[in-house]
Formats: sequence, structure tokens, C-alpha cells
Amino acid sequence: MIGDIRKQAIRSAESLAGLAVITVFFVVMSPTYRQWATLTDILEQSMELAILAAGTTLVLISGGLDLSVGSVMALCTCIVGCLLSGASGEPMMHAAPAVAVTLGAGLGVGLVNGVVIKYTGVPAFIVTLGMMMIARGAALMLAAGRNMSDFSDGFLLLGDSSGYAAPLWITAGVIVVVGCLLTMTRFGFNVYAIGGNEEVARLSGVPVKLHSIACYAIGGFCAALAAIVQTSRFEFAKPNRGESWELMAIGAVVIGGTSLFGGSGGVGRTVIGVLIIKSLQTGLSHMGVGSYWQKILIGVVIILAVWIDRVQSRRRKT
Amino acid sequence: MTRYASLVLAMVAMLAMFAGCGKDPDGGQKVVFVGYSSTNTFWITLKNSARKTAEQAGLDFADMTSSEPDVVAQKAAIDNAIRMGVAGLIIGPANSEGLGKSLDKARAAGIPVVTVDTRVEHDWISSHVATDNAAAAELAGDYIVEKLRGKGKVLIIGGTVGVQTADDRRNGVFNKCKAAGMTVLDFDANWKDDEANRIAQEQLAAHGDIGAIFAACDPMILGAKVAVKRKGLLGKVLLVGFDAIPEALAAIKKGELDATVRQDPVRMGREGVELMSGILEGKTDIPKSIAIKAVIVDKTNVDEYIK
Repeated sequence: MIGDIRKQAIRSAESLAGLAVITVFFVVMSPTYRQWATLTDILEQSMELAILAAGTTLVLISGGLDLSVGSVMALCTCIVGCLLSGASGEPMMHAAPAVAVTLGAGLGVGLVNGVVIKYTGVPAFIVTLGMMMIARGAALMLAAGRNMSDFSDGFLLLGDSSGYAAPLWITAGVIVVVGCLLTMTRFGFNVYAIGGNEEVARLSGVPVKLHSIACYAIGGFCAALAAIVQTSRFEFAKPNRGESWELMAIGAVVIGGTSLFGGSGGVGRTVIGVLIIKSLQTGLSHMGVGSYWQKILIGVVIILAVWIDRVQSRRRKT
Repeated sequence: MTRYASLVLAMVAMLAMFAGCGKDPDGGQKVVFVGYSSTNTFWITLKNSARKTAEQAGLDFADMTSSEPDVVAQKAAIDNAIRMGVAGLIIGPANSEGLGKSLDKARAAGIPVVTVDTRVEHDWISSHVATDNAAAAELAGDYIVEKLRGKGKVLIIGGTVGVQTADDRRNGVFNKCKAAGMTVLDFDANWKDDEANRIAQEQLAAHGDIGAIFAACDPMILGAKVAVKRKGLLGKVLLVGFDAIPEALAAIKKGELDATVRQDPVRMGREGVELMSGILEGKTDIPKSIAIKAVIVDKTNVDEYIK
């Protein structure tokens, strides 16, 4: 077990080196980047993506894929927005039960995804693609004509209202929990096994279906949590949240070093992947490079990361 | 280690391409523009006009509009600009809410902010330039009532509910039509043309007596027009948009669109920068807000506005 953590740490060092190089590059090239405050900016912009990507890491390691998490974010934003909106009279619920319901909704969507994928044999790509549209449609329906803002102070504490404290602690908490799940529990060990070779895992007695479904459920839960933190930070809900975030999350996970094909990786690396993406965006902004180039560059980096992963995983198999 | 060595080398090679990118400040103060959309003609016109005015005023203009038209991405762009320590910020808010904390940061950094097009309630905003959307929408409402002689149903396709611009435009038309005793079908398409197309298609199928469709921006009315054309109702349903983008003006000339409300993005961009320039020079007589009058453009006067 300790050996596993050490192995994870060593592999994380590789992605950390990548992040270090990028940071040094921008510190050299851009005078305005060279402030400690830039680091806080990057952290602030990374939090919700990191929460989402933690769930994505779990799903990818198990050999699965979830394209719906961005839309699930939108749906959960609208659920919590709807329940807590004070714009047209008293909110429907207090903050705590509303948050619980929303987390349950995210978990539930993840469960549905997992069950459909594991029991019908329809590929994960298709199932979660369909769910992506279902969730987006449901979010738009909930939002139609509603003014979802004016939240209670209690709920706003989850956002920045107390400084960056709450979102940062929540993000750190999610990363630690998912990390521990992966490295310190039987469940985690099994998830790696399933991702590595599902048939062999099944034959070895690993409850494949149950574990896979649990991964999707946790992924959905993370999407809900990311949405809640974001809604609290921005103080209003809109159904257009999370667009393309599932792709950004997958991008962060693969840039960080987790294999797209399952069986290896870790959430620490995902955090570095998120920081790499956000550092690239922020650094390029400071250098005066527009948002179009930023998108192109990040896309190129994602392709390179997966390409190198394929080359390495072929090398591992021979 | 080889995996990361190659990836990192490739990234540095790409980043090196941008090494020459930091625009050399030619001594002018840096003013950053963060608009709503980087692809919408209205916003591109606004930005180009702003850039031209800034260059004439000797300011260093940079466009940091995000490629996503949403408040989350916009906030990141604004925060980055504040961190870069720019002299002034011109913002075209993606939403009337959500930018409060960033505006607080601007205040803490002493960076003046001018808003264009959509109003945000915040005491740090030095000045605001926008079309008087409410008055403009009333012009559109009067036009519809007059052309339909007070008869028939009116389909309103609004923008994003809760955004000042969207609300003003929708309310202006809504109130005028209601006052004339007309039935109004009220929908929102979040400024999206494909959404508007869908709504128009469904409503035309559900109601046989729609006399006019008003959309709160031109891309949406052009989307609705496609649905109207498909049903063979072109010419039978009055189509009125908002923004007077070139595509809309061309459609009016062609006879496929009846009217649009002309904002003045050129003037908006220019005034926004002139206000900022005045603020940076330390002028004290800066107006808190400039409301630009709009005008209805239809077949009778479209030639004046087509370039």
C-alpha cells in the first residue's frame, strides 16, 4: 500500500515537471505573471474543474467514460438554483437539504449511467452522450423563465463569501477522498484491476459491475459538487453552465498522466493536469495571446498527451 | 521520464511560438476590452471601433474577450486583466450578475471600469454606454402594432432572462403589444439562433394565427425566418429583429426580413473608449451613462445603412 503511494508520487513528479517548465516559461516571458497573486488566480480558476476532474479520473481509471458530466453540472446548478432562489419569494428549502438533494441528483444520474452501461452493453460513449443531452434538456426546462438567484447567506458560504476558504477546502477534500479511495482501499485496487483488464478482474472475483457503477455514481456526485460550489461563487444559476467541461475534465486527466484506456493513473496527477491547463490559459492571457490560440494550444497538448500515452502503453505491453 | 520529457519539450516548442507575442507597449496606457461574444458581428464591430478609437487616443488596446460567451469564462478573463495591472477595463458583461467580486478586485486595484451594452449594478463602474434598449424596444413594439393593425398573435423570442438587455427588449415589445390588446406568445432562446428556429417552428405549428415574430437579436430572427420560410409563410408573418447586423440588413433588402432595430455598435465602441480615455486623463465631468438612440430599419430606409 505504501509502495503504491510511492509509485503514484513518482509518476506525479513527471507531470509536476511539466507544470514547472510551463510556469518558468511564463515567469520569464511575462512580467505581470511573476506575482504570487497569479498563483491564487490560477487556483481560483481551477477549483471547480478539479472537483469535476477528480470524478472523471475515477471513471477513466475503471475503463469507463462519461461525456455527460458537463451537462450534469448544468442540471445540478439549475436544481440547486431552483430550490434556493429567493428572487420570487421564499426559497423552497434551506441550504443544507437543497445541497443534499442536488448531490443526490448528481449521484443518481451517475448511477443511471453506470447501470445502463453495465447491464445493457450499450457503449459508455453512447449512453453518456445520450445522458448529456437529457441532462441539458432537463436543465433548460428547470431554468425556463426562472430567475435563480438571491441565495441565502448560508449557501453563499460555500462560495467565496468567506474568502477562498470554502471552495478550496472542498476541492482539497474531494481530491484527498478520491485519492485515498484509489490508493488505500480494496475498492480502489479493484478499480485499477477492472480498468487494466475487465475480463481478468471478473474472473478473479472482482464485483466488476458494482464497482464500475460506483465509479460513475461518484463521477456524477463530483459534477454536482462542482456545480454547487460554482453556483455559490457566482451567486446565480444558469442552464448554460458546464458546456464542454466534460471534455476539459478528460483533457486535464490525460494531460496529468492518467491513461485514457484505464488501469493506471491517479487523482494527484489530474490536479496537475488541471493546473497545467489553467496555467497555460492564464499565462497566455498575460502574454497578450487571445482566447482562440489558447483553445488551439490546449487541444494540441491534449492530443500530444494521449499520443505519448499510447506509445508508452504499447511499450509496456511488449 | 521519457514520456514527460517529450511532452514537455513539445509544449515548450509550441509556447516558444508565442514568444514574440507580447505587444510592445508603445508608451500608451493599456486598456483591456472584455466583450460578450468573440464571434457575433455586433460585438466584433464594437471591438473594432473601440480599438480604432483607442489607437487614435494613444492607448494600448488589448482584446481579452473569451471564446465562450458565458460569465464563468468572462470572469476569468477579467481577473487576469486585473492581475496584469492594466490602466482601464472596458467590459461588455455577459450577465448583469456574477461579476461583483471581479469588480471589487478592480476597485481594490484602482482600475477604472466602463461597461458597454449590458448594465451591471455596482458602484465601482465609472460609466456605462448602451442603447436605450427599453425605448428601442418600444419603437419595435409600435412598429408591430401599426403593421398588424392590432390584430393577430405576436410571438416574442427573448434573450437570456435576467440580463438587463434581454429584459428591456422583451418588455418594450411585450408592453406595447399588450396595450394594443394583442395576444402575446412569450419565449426565450438565450440569444441562440438554433433555439429560436425551433421555437418558431413549434409555435407556428401550434398557432395558425401568428401575425408577427419579434426576436431580441438578429441571429435569432434569422433563425426564426428559416422556420417561417420552410412553412411557406414568408411575407405572411411580420419578422422583426434587433441589432441591424449586416446579415439582417441584407435580408431586409432581399425581402426576407421586415425590420430590425439599429443599434450603433460603432458609436458604442467609440464612446466607451472616449469615456475611458477621459477617466484616465483625470477629467471630472464624465457622464455616468450615455444612452444611444436606436432607429427602426426596414425596406424604406435600409439603403442608408447597408455599407
